[in-house]
Amino acid sequence: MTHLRSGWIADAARRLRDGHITSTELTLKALAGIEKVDDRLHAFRLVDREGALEAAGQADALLAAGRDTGPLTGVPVGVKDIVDVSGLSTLCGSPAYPDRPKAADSTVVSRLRQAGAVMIGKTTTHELACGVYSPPAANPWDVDRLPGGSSGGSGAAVAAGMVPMALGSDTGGSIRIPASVCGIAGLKPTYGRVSRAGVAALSWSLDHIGPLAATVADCATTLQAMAGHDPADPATSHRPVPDFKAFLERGVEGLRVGVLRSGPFHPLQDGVAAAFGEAVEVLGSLGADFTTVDIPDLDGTLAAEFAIVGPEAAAYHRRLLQERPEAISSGIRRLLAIGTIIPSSHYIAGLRARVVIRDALRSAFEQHHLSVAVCPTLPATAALADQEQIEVGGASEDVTAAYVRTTAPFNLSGQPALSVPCGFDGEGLPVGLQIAGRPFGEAAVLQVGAAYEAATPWAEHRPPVHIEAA
Amino acid sequence: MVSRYSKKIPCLTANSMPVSCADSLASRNECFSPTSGNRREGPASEGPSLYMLKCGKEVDAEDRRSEGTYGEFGERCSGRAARGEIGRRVRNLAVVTGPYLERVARALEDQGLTGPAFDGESIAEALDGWRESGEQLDRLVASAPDGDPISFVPDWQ
Repeated sequence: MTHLRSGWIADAARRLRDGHITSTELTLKALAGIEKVDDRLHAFRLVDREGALEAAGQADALLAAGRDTGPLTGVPVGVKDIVDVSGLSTLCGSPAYPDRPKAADSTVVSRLRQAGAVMIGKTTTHELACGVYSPPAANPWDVDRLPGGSSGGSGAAVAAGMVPMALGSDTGGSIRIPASVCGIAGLKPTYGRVSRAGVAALSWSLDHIGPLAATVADCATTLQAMAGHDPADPATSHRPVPDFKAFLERGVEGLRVGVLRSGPFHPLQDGVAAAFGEAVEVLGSLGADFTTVDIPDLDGTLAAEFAIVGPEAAAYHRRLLQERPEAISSGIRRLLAIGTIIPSSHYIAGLRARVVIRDALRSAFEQHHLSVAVCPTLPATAALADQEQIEVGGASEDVTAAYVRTTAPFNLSGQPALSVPCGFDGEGLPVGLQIAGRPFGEAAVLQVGAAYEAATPWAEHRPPVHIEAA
Repeated sequence: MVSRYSKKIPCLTANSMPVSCADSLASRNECFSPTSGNRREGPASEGPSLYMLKCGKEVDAEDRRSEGTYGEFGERCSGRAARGEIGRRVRNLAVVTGPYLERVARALEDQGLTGPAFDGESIAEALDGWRESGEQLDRLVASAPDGDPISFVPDWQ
């Protein structure tokens, strides 16, 4: 019998309410932790000590008065530096953006504040949220390795124990990639589940906002606070938001689970393949019913992903590209230039291919009566920070292409996808298990993730660069 | 050994090093034929224009004449895309190196992308990798029913 990991946020909430700790103490502890380790990890671009302590004091006053504003009351969290926070600048990892405080919160930050969260600072992002390296942020498991990206600072901050949750965005894998290489949980919700208003775009068609957190339960708590229609983001759905935490202890008995092993999910590094195989066995031992699923159309994933990202990113950054091109690094500048001049037929082909890929995934789920599909989050573990090619299955791959090929299918389809730790490779680097669900099926994804997490020890492992939770 | 995922995504490296599939392949003393798709041996030291000429197949008469503006180029590509010919077409254009580079430079200029920040040759090289992916997209959508790709919703209903 296994028991749900209640999560760092729930533990903090309980201790805040039974008087064992105050939000001010919790926030001071987080600030001290950042001061202690962030000179090595560079997970935070900006720490708002004053604002965080003020918010923590307000949370303490509310709790002392018996006014409970929500599950995140008094809990310090990080925010990726493409998401607007009132009073703080949003630099998007780029010198091109003005260091001026934003006048208003993004919708997601506003909702987290309503749930009581304390914004402690802005986490490092890869430039313009367009890459998997996120310099200067480093991986707490090995500071010479990348923390993933583009939400690399959020991944490093959570893995190192600085905060229990940090917001990320995901256009081709930017939540799940850092979650996988940093050994934490990360959830990309369904396209339209969470508002993007007040968040800098990379690609409107593919951008998603979601949490990176210590546990699946922490992801569920955060999603609960953020999800739902927002008039400021017309892509958000009017669908009702279920009680995600109600699903976390249901287990996987009898659930149909598809195993993705072909197409973009092959080849894998040996350590990843071994950890994934064991993860499937664990889910099987918990009662899940498996079938192997082959979806040939997913081979077009990278072509479709970049056919859409290039032109949309170019359109979003058009003025910057024309007026201050030298402020954009050469590789991203080249992508934006190509996105500007590529024929419209290429972009439309990408959009059409996206529909083909979505329909292929739907067909597979329906044909096999799947609740979720599982695959490795990434075919490889964390590369070195300056590494461009990585060995996968005896062949050399571009690092970005390798990471994105297994995550982007679910950006294109819009399906929810969760990464949870599922072991380590021979070098002691974390491996991620990806669980993808039906559209707006986050509850099932979290259900399977929580069951797996509870049955395995991986969420308890701590990296070499780590501070103890308050 | 090089996998099918070995080509660089034309943008996203750690240190903004020179990027493009051509750079990547040339650095391994290999050469990519934009027409046949096969890797061939070729000199790494020669510039991308030269390697294209060396590795490309003989261009047809129509391609040799394709020295029009980017607008004409785009128009013709758009027209052929529906017949699944865009990949082959644009690759052949890529082989006509001089005019092709001029067209890329003109297209950049038309969009206000001028100055030393925009290296037309490296952009043209990277663009060639995108054209290959265009062919893959054309194959993927060839069997798809006509539908509206613009109003995307994730729902399956």
